[in-house]
Amino acid sequence: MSKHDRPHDPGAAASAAPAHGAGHGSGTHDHPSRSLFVTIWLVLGFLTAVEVAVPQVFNSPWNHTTKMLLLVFLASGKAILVAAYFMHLKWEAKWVRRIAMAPAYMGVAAVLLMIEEHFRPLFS
Amino acid sequence: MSSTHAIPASVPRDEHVGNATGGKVGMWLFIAQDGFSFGGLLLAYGLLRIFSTDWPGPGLRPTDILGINLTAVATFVLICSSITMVMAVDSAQRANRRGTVLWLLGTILGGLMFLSVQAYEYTHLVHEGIGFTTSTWHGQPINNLFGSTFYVVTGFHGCHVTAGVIYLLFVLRGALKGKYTQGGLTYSPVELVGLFWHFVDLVWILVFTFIYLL
Repeated sequence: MSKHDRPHDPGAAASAAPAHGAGHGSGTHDHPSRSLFVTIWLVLGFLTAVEVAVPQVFNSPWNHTTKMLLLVFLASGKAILVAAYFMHLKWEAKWVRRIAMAPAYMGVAAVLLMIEEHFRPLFS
Repeated sequence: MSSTHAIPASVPRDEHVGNATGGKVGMWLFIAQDGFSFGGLLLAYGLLRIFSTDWPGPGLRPTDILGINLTAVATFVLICSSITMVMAVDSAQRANRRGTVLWLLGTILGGLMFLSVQAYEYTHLVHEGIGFTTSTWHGQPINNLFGSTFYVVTGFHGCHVTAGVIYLLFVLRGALKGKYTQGGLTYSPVELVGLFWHFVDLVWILVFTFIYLL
């Protein structure tokens, strides 16, 4: 871009921003507000505090499964919040979302391997 | 006549990726393949742990060895650096140069704090006997795979944080020159480094749960 193509005054540059904001991501959403981002940040902080408390509350062998499920649920929730709001996936087009979701296959592989490990004694 | 029309406000709409720029699609593809790398490491860690009778050692839990409270603080610092990154992107979109620079500086500071905590943690664990290939805890041998998997997974993540900080420093240099606050799509590089930084944060959320808390 040549220098003369740039806006000459800050006002012009600033006025271009809202026009772009409306076209951000998939181009079909309003620009997310800062208060929304701060809310997500507070929720993430709260969930982190809950996560740290979970192993101390569920610290007996008999409630190990509860602890595991709770922690995986909390971590998944936090990851989804970061991806959806901070990474703007909520406002992206479907193929961008599909690309982003591809590594979730590793979660499926993990579940399949755990099932295989669980039923292995039956076939050995 | 205004010259703002020369700066594209958005790319032409695509049937599949909407108004995402080529750079954004490229960054998402990179993040996806990087996600597979982390997924593979976490999967290997999970399998090694499942097939171990004592993890990390007889009568021990990971929380007995790893400093959960310190790491929780580091986790919160990384989350804070994510919100500063979001604000940096938002400032760049609003053509606010000062805001972009300050929020980027905050993000870099968060990354450096996280790396400092990680360096302190590694030093402490090595002194306690948790090595990369062989591990002891209070003089008693424990499962060597615990230390190996811990250092590989958290070290790989630490490399990403380091790369992210270097990437942020390059973007900060451009932001100081006002390159990304001229309206239209000029903010795009700030958004791309933001995507990478949030990915690093997202991965740590999973690493913190699977390595430290479970």
